[in-house]
Amino acid sequence: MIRVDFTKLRILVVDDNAHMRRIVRTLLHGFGAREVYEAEDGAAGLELFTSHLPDILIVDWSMPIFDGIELVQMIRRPESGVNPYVPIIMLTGHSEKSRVLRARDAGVTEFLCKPISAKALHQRVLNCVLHPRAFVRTKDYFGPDRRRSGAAAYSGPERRVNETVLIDSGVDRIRETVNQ
Amino acid sequence: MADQPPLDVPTETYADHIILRPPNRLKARVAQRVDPDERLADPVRRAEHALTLLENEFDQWMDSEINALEDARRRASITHSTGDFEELYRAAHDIRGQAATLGFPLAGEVADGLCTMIERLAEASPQSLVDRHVEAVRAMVREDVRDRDHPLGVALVRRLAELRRQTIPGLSNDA
Repeated sequence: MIRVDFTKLRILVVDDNAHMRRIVRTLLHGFGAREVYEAEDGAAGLELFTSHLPDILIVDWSMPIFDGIELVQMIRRPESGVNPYVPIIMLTGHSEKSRVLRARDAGVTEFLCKPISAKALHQRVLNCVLHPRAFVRTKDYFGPDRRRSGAAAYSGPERRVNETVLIDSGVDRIRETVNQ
Repeated sequence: MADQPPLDVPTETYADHIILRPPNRLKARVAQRVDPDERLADPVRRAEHALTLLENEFDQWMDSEINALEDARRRASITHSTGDFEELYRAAHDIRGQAATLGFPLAGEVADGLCTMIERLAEASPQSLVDRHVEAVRAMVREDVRDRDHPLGVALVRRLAELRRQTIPGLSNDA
């Protein structure tokens, strides 16, 4: 059995709402995390990301100055000297499929809808640590492989003809977890 | 201490994309194999318990979120500006995301409906319907109407949904 030692994790929470930051911090401390940093907008989040090199980011979507999607895009720069592979969990009240896909296309690692639950947050962090996906770089994308299942076993031609199907199953999985 | 970004990442190059497999140093650093028979505290339960210790602050937090919503509603009703409606949307969005955690899921549903209306109609949202949503959220918290066990609260949610459907062209039944 594998256990994740949260005491060794450094986590950055970026959310403009102080109450939500407190809730997330409380849950993370409950999991055992000790190093939890907070930023209240995208700009402060980017600064803390650069200076503190967190292991995992938890990012809200709607924020002043620049939002969570813009923050993710700034981090996911392949030539960046700071870790462009860092796992990013998007925690948001936006649950529409179009938003989930937009977050995915920005390079988000995991998507988590509010209202938050301890179980769902814990599962997302575990996924980030234990089951990281390979990264893909194309002319207009850099981020975790957007195909979540069966990629390693695939032996056919390198065409992404099944992408829509795979995306849909991913969204369904996200929605199932949201309702836990 | 957090890991430094990996410098040499194994890559596989294809015609239109590159696969990069950064080494999973994070797992190596924080994952531990434990004996399945060993009794360990469940981290999820511990976190849920930690959250319950915050509960005595939740009513106050909810109040402060509603104050922000009412302030934003007041400003938007005077200026009808895009910026003020965006602020109103953000305040409603905060409540839809937090209300269930703070113990008021039904108020969260009302805030969700308000968000839907502003997403569709923006500054053209009828003031009277904006007011009804904001006042419903306030009334639910004041009267301690929390979840779907409260028939009057459920009726209010349904009525607001009906009004939105009458107002917003093409709105589906579940929006």
